[in-house]
Amino acid sequence: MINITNISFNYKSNLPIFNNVSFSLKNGIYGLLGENGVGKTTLLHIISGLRFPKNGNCRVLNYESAYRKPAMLSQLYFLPEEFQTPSMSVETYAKYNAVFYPNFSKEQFSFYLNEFQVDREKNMMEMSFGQRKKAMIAFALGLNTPIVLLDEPTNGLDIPSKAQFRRILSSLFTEDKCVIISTHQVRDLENLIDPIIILDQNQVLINNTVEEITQKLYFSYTPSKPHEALYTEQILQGYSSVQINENQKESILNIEALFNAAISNKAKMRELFNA
Amino acid sequence: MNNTFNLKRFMYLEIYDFVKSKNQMLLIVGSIVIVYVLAILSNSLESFRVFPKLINLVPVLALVIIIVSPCTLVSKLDKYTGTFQYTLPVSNFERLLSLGLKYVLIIPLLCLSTVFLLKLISPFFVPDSQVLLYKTTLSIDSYLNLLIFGFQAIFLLGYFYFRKLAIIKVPIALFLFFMLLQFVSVISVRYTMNTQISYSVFDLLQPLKYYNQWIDGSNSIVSVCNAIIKSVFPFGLWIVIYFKLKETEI
Repeated sequence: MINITNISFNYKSNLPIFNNVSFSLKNGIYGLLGENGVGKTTLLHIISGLRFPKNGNCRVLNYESAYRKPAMLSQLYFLPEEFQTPSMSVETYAKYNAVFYPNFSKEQFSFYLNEFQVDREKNMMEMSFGQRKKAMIAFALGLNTPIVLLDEPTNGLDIPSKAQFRRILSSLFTEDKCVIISTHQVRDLENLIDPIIILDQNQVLINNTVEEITQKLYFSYTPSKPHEALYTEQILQGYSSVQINENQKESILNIEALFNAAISNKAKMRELFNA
Repeated sequence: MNNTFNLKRFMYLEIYDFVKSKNQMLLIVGSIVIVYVLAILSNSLESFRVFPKLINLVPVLALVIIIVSPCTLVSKLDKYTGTFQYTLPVSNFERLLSLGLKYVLIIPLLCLSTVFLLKLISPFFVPDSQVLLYKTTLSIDSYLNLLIFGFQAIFLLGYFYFRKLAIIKVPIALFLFFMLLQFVSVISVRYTMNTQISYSVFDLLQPLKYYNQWIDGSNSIVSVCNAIIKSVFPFGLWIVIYFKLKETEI
């Protein structure tokens, strides 16, 4: 659905964000992870046509994203981390915006608003940030676009809303959808995101499914510190660690441990995942 | 073609833009009416005769609104507001057309019709002799001077280029530009043509009749140049705006 070929991007010429990066995204709920300033939001901007790569190209549904063709934009929705909305009610906003998107479902939108307990008649300018975010998430999901880009969607959401968000997102996911969620709060989205993309300085460190990751890495909780672990973290019950899965043992992915292991063993991760 | 212009999509864009900007329109009409009411009040109260010409500000205000509105009424071009603006599924041409319709047609018509209506009711409140400038400024001839659209386009381009505080930066940039132009023109006229004519580029902004007294038969050249500038300048700038719209990143 999204093909990124040899893109390079920089804000300042001596500080490249991406350097000749290529990868493709198919269907799935992608978790886009990376340290601060590594280019997560920039990548979402490039995919949605808000930023243009200096070299290479980004094709979304076979459209060059930088051209911002209406045919592409009507199949894509990008919800930024922070945003300003016009001074109008949620209902009015949806009424005049949804006409541009052919798959919008009013029933779904109303259902999500009810789930999030958002007052549809209230002016968005009078809402709290969290309420506004919930309204926009409901709108983004109600549009039913094949590509949805969400930048830190759980920032500003209260605890029940985070659970509702997870439930809604997992229920509406279909095989023809590509949802990319950029987040630092991996625990909010654990068991939901698959595949996982981890960005590193100028490059993509990991772009693999959970199955592929757990085939190559073993995640364990042990009372004593394991030897030859890629990453170990002391927790109340003992140690949480990430090891190379040499014996093809099954384990449950711990995204936070994976991220820390990837950041502290970049060369090894590249070698393992061929990224 | 569908990716460049689609009538249905453009209509949706216009309706959405109208819903978003109806308060701005009310604000424009309101500000003109408020200045008018203040002018009438100052005129009726003998003690406030210090502002006898306040009513003349009404059409001037309308003119200022028309020129600076592209810079002030648009939403800020940053990642907080620009994201939804630039990911809305419309083409750049439709965006340009929508901007043109709003700033070249709707807002000038709104301002002029407000001023015109106020002019109609003026004889009930103000003696005829006091609204001389008010009448002349409102004349259609002066409004149709295409340079107004050119200045509108400059302010719109300033919004794209400067992004922040464009309303202050554009007039400063314009002033500096005209100063530079004046300097270059004085130097070039004095030293290349070896004459003492003190030519002013600011004369270009005046109607053609001011050139009638131009010396040595160069009147026709100046008239032609003036006419070209008047037409090419605004349209050229609007074409530049199209490319700027296309290339704008958030």
